[in-house]
Amino acid sequence: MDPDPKLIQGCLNKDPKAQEAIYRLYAPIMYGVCLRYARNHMEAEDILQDGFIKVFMFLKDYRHEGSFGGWVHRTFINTAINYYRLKAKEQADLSLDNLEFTASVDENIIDTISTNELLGLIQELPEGYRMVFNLSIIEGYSHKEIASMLDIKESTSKSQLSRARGVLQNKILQLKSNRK
Amino acid sequence: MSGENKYIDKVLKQKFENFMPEPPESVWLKIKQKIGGQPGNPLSGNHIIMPVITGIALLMALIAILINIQSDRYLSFTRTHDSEPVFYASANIDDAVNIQYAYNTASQNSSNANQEKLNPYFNSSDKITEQESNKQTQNIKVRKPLVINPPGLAANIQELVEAPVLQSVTEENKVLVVTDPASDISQLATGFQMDKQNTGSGIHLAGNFNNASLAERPSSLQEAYNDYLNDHKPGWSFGLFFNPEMIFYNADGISQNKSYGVDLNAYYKFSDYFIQTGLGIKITNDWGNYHIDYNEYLGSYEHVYEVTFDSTNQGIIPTYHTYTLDVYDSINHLKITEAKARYTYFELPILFGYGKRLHKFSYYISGGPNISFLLDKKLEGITYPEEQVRIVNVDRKVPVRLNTNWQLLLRIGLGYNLNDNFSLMIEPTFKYYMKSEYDFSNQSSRPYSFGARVGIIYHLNK
Repeated sequence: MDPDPKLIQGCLNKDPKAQEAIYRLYAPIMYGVCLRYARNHMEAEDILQDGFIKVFMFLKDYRHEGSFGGWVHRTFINTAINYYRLKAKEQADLSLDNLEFTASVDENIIDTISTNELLGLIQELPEGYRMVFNLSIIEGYSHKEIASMLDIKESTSKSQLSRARGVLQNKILQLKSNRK
Repeated sequence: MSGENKYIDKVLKQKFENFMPEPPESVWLKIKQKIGGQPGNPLSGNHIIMPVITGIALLMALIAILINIQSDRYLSFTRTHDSEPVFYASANIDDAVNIQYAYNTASQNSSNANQEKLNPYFNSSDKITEQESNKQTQNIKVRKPLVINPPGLAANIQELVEAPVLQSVTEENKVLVVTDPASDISQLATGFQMDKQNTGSGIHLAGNFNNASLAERPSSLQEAYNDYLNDHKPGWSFGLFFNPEMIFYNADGISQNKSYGVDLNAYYKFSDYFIQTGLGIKITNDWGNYHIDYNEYLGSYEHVYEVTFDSTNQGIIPTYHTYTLDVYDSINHLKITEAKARYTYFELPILFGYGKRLHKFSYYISGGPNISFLLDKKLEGITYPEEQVRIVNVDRKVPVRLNTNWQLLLRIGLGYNLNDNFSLMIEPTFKYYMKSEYDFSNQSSRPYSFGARVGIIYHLNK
């Protein structure tokens, strides 16, 4: 979904109307992305705000080598990664002892839970797990690529995804049992 | 990855495919507020910069004007008080000995009937009483003294008597100060048989002065005096410098970086002060990598976009209108390639300084704001995936630099004077960044840099 090139040019010329149009076009999609990477709505709004400011500030760097939507999406992922790095520093002492692997969840259960419920569970994941989970499962990056993006080892990315899956499955099962 | 996981992952991904919640309206209002001040203008990113720069520039201009006004006042003052020759010496030991002399008046008086009265000051055999001396002298505050400072210059009383005053002092430069910390003020007082007056800053000597015995003054003193006049004449100098620097950051990913620059500076010197500005070009590099998101090429097929039918004798024949459509996978792949970014800055310093020239050597200290504008950036080293791919996005993973930054700059200059016109300089430099070169959100303190400029200065008015 790429906008009219005139809108992009308008943003380059700092036209407020063009900037608002671009915002209105991409804000819902990117807010969805931000919510996945954030722990809550407040963090997601912060990332959304920072991401759009970067989009408008560095639009001149967009070289039309790919889709504009892809560039915006990537800008938001980078913003989320930077946000995560800051948070990771602040929460370096986060205890992961209570996180355990469990048996795999029945895939049919996932179908029965809503996107918002799933989002809530993802947001409850520890920072590192959530980042790797999003980048791998939702965005489709390989572990090598994720390792490079997050400045971690490939093996760390793999283990974090594995643990993220386990934790998420636990949470899904728990959600399901609470419903009964 | 097991098949079960693959299926779950697919389901999870699908859950978010059309997930587009509306963000609160307040987010756009905040964004609008933040981007409102950023359009194009490299200085508008920080509203404080322009007023600060303007303020500093105005302050410097004001100082320069005040100094010139003070100078003019002094000249006027001496003209109104030059009814008789004045000899003035101040024995503030830190500043050494000051002598002030009004040449024109002395010349006039030397031809009148008071000649005899004036002569004794240069003849140790003649005596003058303290009372008489007081009648004949005025202590005029030296506001803009001329300085001669060869070591040991004034140690010998006779040499001091022969100080290069009379014939060299011009209408505009009626004041001469000879400095020599080694001089003994008491000895001077005795030698000149002058008054002693205690003041807050030390002993002041005062007496009339006569040019009768100054015909044979040492040539070294004349040279020193000429040097002095040259050094204190207002005028322009121009410098060309090579400027290597090392900048230190306190932020994730970057700890230090090097830069090289060439500066062309202009100095306007008045008395011992100067204002310096100019232009500089600074080049620095960042290293990082590119992240190229792409989709792999899977193949192509002829896509039918229209079918037409023609009736012929053989019946209806369909015609298929097609074009070749490339097919790519829907998974994002990432290629990471090392990259180098070269940045060119234009630098504009506005400095105020103070300096001294000591024969072959000179030194000065200067400080003020230095503004840097990002002129150009060149990105090198990017290599795209060789196979046929569809580029989704290219993301530069090198630090983001801001279009403008400014620093407070402090320089200490040490110079070797090759001749009257040229000086070789070395200038240790310290910069404290008031605004960083980078768009750091995780910077705990402001960057700073150390450098050592080397170059040559041409003094225009010598």
